[in-house]
Amino acid sequence: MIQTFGEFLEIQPKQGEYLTIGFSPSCRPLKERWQNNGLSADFIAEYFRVFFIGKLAEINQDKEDIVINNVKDTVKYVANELLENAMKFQNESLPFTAKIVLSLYDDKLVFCVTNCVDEQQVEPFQRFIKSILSGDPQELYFKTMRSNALGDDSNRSGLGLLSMICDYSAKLSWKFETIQTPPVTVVTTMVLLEIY
Amino acid sequence: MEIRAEKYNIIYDQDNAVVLCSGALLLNGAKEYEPILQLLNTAASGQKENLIIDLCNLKFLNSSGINMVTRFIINVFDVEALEIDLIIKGQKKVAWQEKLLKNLQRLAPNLTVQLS
Repeated sequence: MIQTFGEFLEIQPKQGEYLTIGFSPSCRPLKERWQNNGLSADFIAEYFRVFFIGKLAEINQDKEDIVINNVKDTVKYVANELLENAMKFQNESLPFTAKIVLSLYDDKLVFCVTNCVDEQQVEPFQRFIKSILSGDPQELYFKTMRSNALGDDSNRSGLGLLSMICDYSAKLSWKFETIQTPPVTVVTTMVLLEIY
Repeated sequence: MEIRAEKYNIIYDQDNAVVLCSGALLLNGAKEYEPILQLLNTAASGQKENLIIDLCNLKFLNSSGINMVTRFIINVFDVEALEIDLIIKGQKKVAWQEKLLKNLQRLAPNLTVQLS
């Protein structure tokens, strides 16, 4: 069974420029390699940085450096948050390789992170997604910041996803797919950033 | 008082009432950020007039880090209601710092934000 939330695009990853990194729990427990998230995010951001340089040829050098550094920071932030979430929620007892795919298009950057989750995580996660999609994300963002600060469980707050939407104008969508062998729910989180 | 790690430094200069943050903060959840939060809270409660949190040399902050900074700000203004002038500094040309500081000011209108 497949369920989608938001404007989920079925991307053909073999088109255009793309980069995929896979993470298998059989190599080393994912939760023990937290530092790699930052390294992977840095690599992704640095790798795609060169593609933006040509796009900004018409502006002066100082401004170009600022714009490119901010694009790089954005790519790093989004990639790192998605990887952190995938590592946090991945069910490591299953032989499933979590992966991040970043695809570059003329007008957009698309991140897709795929991981499998425990059944009991599906319903609360979908409820959170529905609250983002049906409500005001800004309001939810500030409410979440405040409630986290006052001691609510911040590990599952969704603050990272909300910050992508509110601070980086990202468009988020999700696909939940139940597969039979082994019986597991696979979640793909898609983040789309328009390139200005 | 200071926390020095491979990827970041948090240095509290008590005499000048400033906490300098540098490097990249990508720690795992509230538990790993607890020592930094404690340093900030200790610094704020130990100052009588003002405290500067300088983020200008901070290269990266993940969402757990945003959560830690928010927790500190709410603690100073809402929980402890400390009567100090809390100033947070960032760079205007670094987009994430500008957004973070503006978000924090919206949460705590008495916070002084300085973007250089």
